[in-house]
Amino acid sequence: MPFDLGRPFGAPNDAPFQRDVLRTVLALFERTDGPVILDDYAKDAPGQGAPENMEGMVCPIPLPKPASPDKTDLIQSVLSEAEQLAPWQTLFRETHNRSTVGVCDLSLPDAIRFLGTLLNDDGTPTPPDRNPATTLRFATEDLRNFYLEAAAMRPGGAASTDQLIEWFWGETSAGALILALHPVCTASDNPDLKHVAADQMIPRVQRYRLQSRQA
Amino acid sequence: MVRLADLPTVDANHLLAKNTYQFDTQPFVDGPPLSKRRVAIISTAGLHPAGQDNFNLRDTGYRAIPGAYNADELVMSHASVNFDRTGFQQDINIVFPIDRLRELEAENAIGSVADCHYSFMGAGWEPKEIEASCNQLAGLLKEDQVNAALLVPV
Repeated sequence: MPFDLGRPFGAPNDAPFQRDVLRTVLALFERTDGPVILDDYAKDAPGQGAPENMEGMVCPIPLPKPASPDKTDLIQSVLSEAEQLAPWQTLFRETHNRSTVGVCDLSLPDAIRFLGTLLNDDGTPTPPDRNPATTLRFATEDLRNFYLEAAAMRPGGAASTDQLIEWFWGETSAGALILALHPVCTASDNPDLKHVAADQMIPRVQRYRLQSRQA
Repeated sequence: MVRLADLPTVDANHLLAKNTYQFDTQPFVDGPPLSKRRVAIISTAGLHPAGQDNFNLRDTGYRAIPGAYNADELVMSHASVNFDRTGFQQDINIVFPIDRLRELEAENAIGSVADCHYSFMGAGWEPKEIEASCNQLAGLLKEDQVNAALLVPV
């Protein structure tokens, strides 16, 4: 199936296309020319390969430019962004009757404040029952999903996945916060925290931004 | 699986650098026609019901997803940030095609849908590392009379 990673059935909310993919896969059970059977699915997913430029991409609401590198400003800026996006994310939840936000057991504001304590490395004690590496992983997951769900509800039609991802990492303070956490957490003495920061926080295709921040 | 040519170079190189496991044997069996098959979904998307534990950093286990569970409430706690989540946000069937499977059952294209489905967190494990979990899962599938496992990578 020649579909983007994360989309093994090709296109969301396209039942006929998904059904065709499923029928094609299940038909392999009736083949007898094994043991190894390799077949390519002949169709691309609807919408795959959409234009990747940011022209026309409009945020649900106008967000201020990402905050300065000042750490206090950055946390406040993310809290403010999240507050502004909350009605749109609520709309997503109500429209789809579901949300992918919630893998972290902290509320989003508390998750942002937790990330703030890591960023500031200010000695704020982590509660003994809270694993900082696990919390980092799921707090950043919730933060990203919250923004992407909110952005999906913007008026004027859906942006492409690439546009949404570029918006999050390039245009929001939340993206700037996660990028700012990378050097702090990869320098940690905690091997799990270091591992999450190195491999499970920033997609490979976005890591070039780390170099540009250091330059 | 996405075409390498459609991936950003950094992701394509990452996949090309992986070692591919060489199996000693290539077992192959046939079975009943599709209309007599009982199908279970086995996903590697790190899915689970909201009440179950998230997948941890080095989790080689699986989570059970009962067929009666409302799939819209499934959680994804996969460790990788290198695949798209926006499709999953819009429609669970993009990674867990339970509604599509039930439609095929309704039109008798397949025999039945299993009582329970399963998810691993695919994260580049070597087969040996998940062998114990897979053996356990095979027993559960046999108990459920499953004779077709729909393996869904993410």
